[in-house]
Amino acid sequence: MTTVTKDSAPKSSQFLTFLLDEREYGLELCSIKEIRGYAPVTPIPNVPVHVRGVMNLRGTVLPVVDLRMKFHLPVVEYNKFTVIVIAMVAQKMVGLVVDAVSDVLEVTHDAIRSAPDFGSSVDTRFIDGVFQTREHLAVALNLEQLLSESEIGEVHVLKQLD
Amino acid sequence: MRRALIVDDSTSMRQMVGFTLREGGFEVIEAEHGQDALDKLKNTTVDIIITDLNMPVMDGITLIKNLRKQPTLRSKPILMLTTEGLSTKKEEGKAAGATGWIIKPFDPEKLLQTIAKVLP
Amino acid sequence: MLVLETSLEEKTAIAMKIDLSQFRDAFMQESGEHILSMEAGLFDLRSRPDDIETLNAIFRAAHSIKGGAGSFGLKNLVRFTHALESLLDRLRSMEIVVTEDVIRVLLKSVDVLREMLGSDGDAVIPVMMQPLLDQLQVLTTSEKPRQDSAAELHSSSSSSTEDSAVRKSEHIFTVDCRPAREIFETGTNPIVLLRNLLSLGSASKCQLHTDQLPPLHELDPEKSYLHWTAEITSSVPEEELVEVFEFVEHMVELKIKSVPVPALAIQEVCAVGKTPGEEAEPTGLVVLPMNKATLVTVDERKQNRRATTTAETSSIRVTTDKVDRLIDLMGELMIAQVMTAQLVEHFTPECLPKLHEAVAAMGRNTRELHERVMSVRMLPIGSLFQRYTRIVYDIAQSTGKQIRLQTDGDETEIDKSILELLGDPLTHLVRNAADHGIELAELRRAAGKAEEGLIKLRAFHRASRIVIEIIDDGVGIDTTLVRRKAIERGLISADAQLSEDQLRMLIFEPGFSTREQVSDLSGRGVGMDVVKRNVQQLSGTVTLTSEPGAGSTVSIELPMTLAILEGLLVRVEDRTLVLPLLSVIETLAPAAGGIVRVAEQGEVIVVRDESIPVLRLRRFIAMHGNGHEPAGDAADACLSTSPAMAGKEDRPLVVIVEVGRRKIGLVVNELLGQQQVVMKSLEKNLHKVTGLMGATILGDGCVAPILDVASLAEMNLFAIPLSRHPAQAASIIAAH
Repeated sequence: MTTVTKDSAPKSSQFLTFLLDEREYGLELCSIKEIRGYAPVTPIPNVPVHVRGVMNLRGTVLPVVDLRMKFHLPVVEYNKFTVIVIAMVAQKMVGLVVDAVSDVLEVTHDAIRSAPDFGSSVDTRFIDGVFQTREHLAVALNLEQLLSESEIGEVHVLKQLD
Repeated sequence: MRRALIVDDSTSMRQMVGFTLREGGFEVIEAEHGQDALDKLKNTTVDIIITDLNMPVMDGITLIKNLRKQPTLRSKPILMLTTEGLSTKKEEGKAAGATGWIIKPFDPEKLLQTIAKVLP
Repeated sequence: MLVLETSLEEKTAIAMKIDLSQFRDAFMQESGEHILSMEAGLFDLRSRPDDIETLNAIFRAAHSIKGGAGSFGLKNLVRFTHALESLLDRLRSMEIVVTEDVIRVLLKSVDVLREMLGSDGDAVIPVMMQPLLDQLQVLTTSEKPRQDSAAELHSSSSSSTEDSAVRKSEHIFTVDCRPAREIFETGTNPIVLLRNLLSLGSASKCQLHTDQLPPLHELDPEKSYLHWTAEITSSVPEEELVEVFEFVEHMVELKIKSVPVPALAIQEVCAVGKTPGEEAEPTGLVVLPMNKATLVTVDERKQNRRATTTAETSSIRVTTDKVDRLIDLMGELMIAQVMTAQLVEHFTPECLPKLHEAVAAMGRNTRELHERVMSVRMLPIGSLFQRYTRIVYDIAQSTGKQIRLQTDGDETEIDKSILELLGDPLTHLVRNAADHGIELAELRRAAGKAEEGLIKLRAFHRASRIVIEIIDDGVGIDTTLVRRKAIERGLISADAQLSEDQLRMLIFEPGFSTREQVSDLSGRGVGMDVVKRNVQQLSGTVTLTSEPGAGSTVSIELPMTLAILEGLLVRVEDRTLVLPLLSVIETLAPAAGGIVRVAEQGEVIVVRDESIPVLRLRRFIAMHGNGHEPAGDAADACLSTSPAMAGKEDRPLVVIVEVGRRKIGLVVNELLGQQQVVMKSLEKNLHKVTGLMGATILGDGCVAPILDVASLAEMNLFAIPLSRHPAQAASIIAAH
């Protein structure tokens, strides 16, 4: 129960914004560990399609999730300009493939408004809201939901070997 | 800094007593039973010995008797740690030459007070 | 209100209450160990009821728990252990004889203790506590009726603290103290007594009496000849003065006279403040923080006595010589590293052989270091085995059967985490053997067997693996019954042809049970599939052999060290995979047509008259969650350097691997060589992937999956239906 004085700043967080298929998205900076260029990915069986495989980050093996595939956007080939955002969610490290990284912004919490149904291909449970950047409206993503067990968890296909 | 020897086969008891003693400004040496205590005392001097009575290999009463046999330890303050408040163990301990006793469950402040009571 | 701060308190300078709660966890854990040793001791006692040493050990364990419980104010626990202690005390002084009944009550008491400790000391009083207290009392035949034994436990030393509310009346006390000659023998220093006495008030007179002092040549410096009289004005009650001499009341002649001081004379106001200078010096010693990852070193004897793992503990006991060797090795490694660095720093081509040597030395040291560090986590499996004596005893008691548990290979060491995960499956298997395996005594007699059934737990190493066997000499497994049940449950078709082995393995299928009634001892028959799953999680295998009427054996095989293994690198299509070399028996390059398709069973290869099922790894690696083929892989797969010929196979190679007692053949494109690989877990950041043990990072930085042959074998167990996807079916046929 703190009294908010006139000069105390309202609560805000830093967001990393990035591009996917010309659209802007944002992730809370505190979950981002690093951003790196493309690295070879080894495919792994029995995982959902959007989990492209695993990569080596200085000795740690972590899964690589293709956000385009996750959001059912057209798939592109990886090249040397591809960017992987390394994020940490619930003790697990994951790499997210994005088109490009835009900016780091300070966003106040009341600037994040609930998402209108603007027909995005992104499932609403992954969306925390939208906020305004200099040029676009960015979609704030919920990392926990995006990378929860049900999303990147194992899919059993044992008896479907044929 | 003064030095104390705590003899008890229970690790957690040693740790608790040790912690209390350090808070009281003592350097602490630990032993797990009577024989261990005698061995440790061959190479170090202490200002006070605090010992449990029920231990394997060599119990407290035997330890006290052995300590009192040594010239340098004949008048060293020795406190018994005992849960048997009124039983014969305490008498045995006294007869063996213990300086005083402290009853378990022990109150840390009480332990330090009792030590202060017997230390010059 | 006037409060007299005495110099005693100044000396101890207690500025704040000393907080012992940080030691509570350690106490809980230690008590858990005491309980285990009490239980083990009680079982020893059954066979040797007169063993004083065992009785002493059990007594000490109870005593320790009581002591610690008191320090944390766990009154119920104290009360209960006190009752236990009383009985044990009479037992060890042979006043009471150890009978089966006594042991039964003591064992139940241990259960109550366990429950109390489990509920964090005192929160919940187990229902059995009071009845058992009564039973213990009866056995102890204590003369004292329902006396609250808590009375004994109050600190009886001083009566004064509670009622030392300041009396308004002061007295002048004249204290005459005559220590006995031998007082030094108790380590008591009479001057300290005087000091303590005088700190209780203000002294007006103190007189030393030397009349007993002999001439110097007769003086024994270790005897006390002096006595004294002191006069002290104080408002404390006389009892407090007497208390100063508490420890030496038998060694001191004490005479106290008191004269009240008229009330008007109280003028002084005693200053209360603490003397700042007397505060305890910072000790500079760090108290052991009892947080989760504490490494405790004990010496070898203790390690063997107390080696134990409870499911929740997250600390490890390590023998000091293990730690010493590690330290030595670290030193060697550091030297090798410095050497290498120096050689590189001043490198000339002539240095090359030396550099090779140095690098090799580092490699050796690193390998050994790895082994030794892993061995720190290794604990003898005996600590797990000993739990089962109790379980078997309980089942025997409740079913009226006679069962004995025997263990072999207790000293076999196994990684702590595997040990923890093994607990549940083994428990289930032992329960199963006791409950379903061993028959009642009459039945056994009728079958010509010894009335007492035997359950044997064996553990041993075999080729870098650990094998654990649960052997019973009970009824064995009736495969016709199994078959019938399996058909009933729809697990196999009525006309399926299965070997005896395969039939027995059906028991591990979910939903299977040969017992109609639900037995609450071993669960609803859903246990076996969980056992299998748990073992597979550990990348192990479980097999079952049995002889109807004679008994059954469940055998669990686990890899020994999970983290480093010898790997065989293979290429499958354009991927590099790793197979654990230890599982590999041989590799073949079969002639065309060497791989034969057998109806309903998939493909096999015949090797020296043995028909071995074959799994094409490229099918495995192509599996995606929703059955799609992998997306365009141009830039993203870790390609091997040889040209990939996707779809068409160059002459396939078959790697025969061993899984438990079975063999399967894995089809690969090329063998790439063998090397030591460090296994990285996939669960850490992703999840457990069926078919993979983990992944490794190759020399070029790429990640290669490590195959789990045991679960791969599973995938090939049952009949593979012909493809539902015509396109894929076509590609299969084309592959031949």
